[in-house]
Amino acid sequence: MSVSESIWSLLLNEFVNYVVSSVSEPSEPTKEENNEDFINDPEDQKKITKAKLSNAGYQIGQKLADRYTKDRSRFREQVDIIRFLCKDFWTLLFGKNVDNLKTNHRGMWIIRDENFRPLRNLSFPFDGKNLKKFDLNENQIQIVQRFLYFPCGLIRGALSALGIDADVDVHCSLIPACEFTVISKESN
Amino acid sequence: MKIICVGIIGPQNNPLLIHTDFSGEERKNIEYIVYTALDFCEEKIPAMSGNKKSSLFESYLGLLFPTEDLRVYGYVTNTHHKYVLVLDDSDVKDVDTKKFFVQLHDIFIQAISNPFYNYGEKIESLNFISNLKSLISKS
Repeated sequence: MSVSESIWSLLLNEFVNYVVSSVSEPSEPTKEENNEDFINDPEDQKKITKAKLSNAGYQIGQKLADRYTKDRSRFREQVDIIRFLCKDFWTLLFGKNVDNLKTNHRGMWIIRDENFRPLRNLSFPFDGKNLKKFDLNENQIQIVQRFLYFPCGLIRGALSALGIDADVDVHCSLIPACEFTVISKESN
Repeated sequence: MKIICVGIIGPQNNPLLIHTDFSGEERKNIEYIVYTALDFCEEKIPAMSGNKKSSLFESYLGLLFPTEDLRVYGYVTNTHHKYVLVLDDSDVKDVDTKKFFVQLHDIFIQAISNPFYNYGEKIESLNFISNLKSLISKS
């Protein structure tokens, strides 16, 4: 099953922007005085944005796991699941294999993608000096992270459905590359 | 083949669906058979590591156990959902039961893609039940 790349990324962009604005701006003036949906503290806003996006991803990831593993025999080991994640799952979702996979053989994997699809069209205003790719500043990293919470959730959901209960974190310092850290909860 | 009951059991051995035409006491007995089947499933699913024999890693588990007048078949997915099929005692080919499970897997995937369905809940959607009924009547 394939999905048009453009609609995938445009939909993701809209979704992220929608969630971010729904958290950071009061929606319609509501009848009730205490609108619980509206959060003032930027740290809290960030946390809630992250939770919302990552939970949506988690739900979808679980459902996708069933769909994408239907026609294959059952996994033998954890390694097989990770391999499936990096090859089949990644290709189906992000159009390519991952570029680098590292593990400490104790339940931690670092997955690196040099050209991550959700970040491919993302760019910041030209600062007038340097046309080369540049390291992002703190603020820009925050903005980029928003687009990675959903994919993080997808990965977490798929892994959980396949039997690895894990925390997934992501780091990006130079778009469009990014690095996911998967830590299995069993290993701790 | 005559299907008595179809069961779908979630990863935590939580029943997502037990579909049978029987009711009352008879239904209870059949549910009991489905739960018994789970133990046989566990037995047939090998531990994840170490085992190299590839036939052990098929989704289709085959005949789990026969009772006096019933035969119970099993199937397990990569997401640790177990499907249980209870048939009457007539002769059936593995090919047919396997085909049934694969088709059941298909409509299960459709059912969990329903936006109103939350992963891990019982499946009650109209679409799924009608798909399942037509699948049962066809086989």
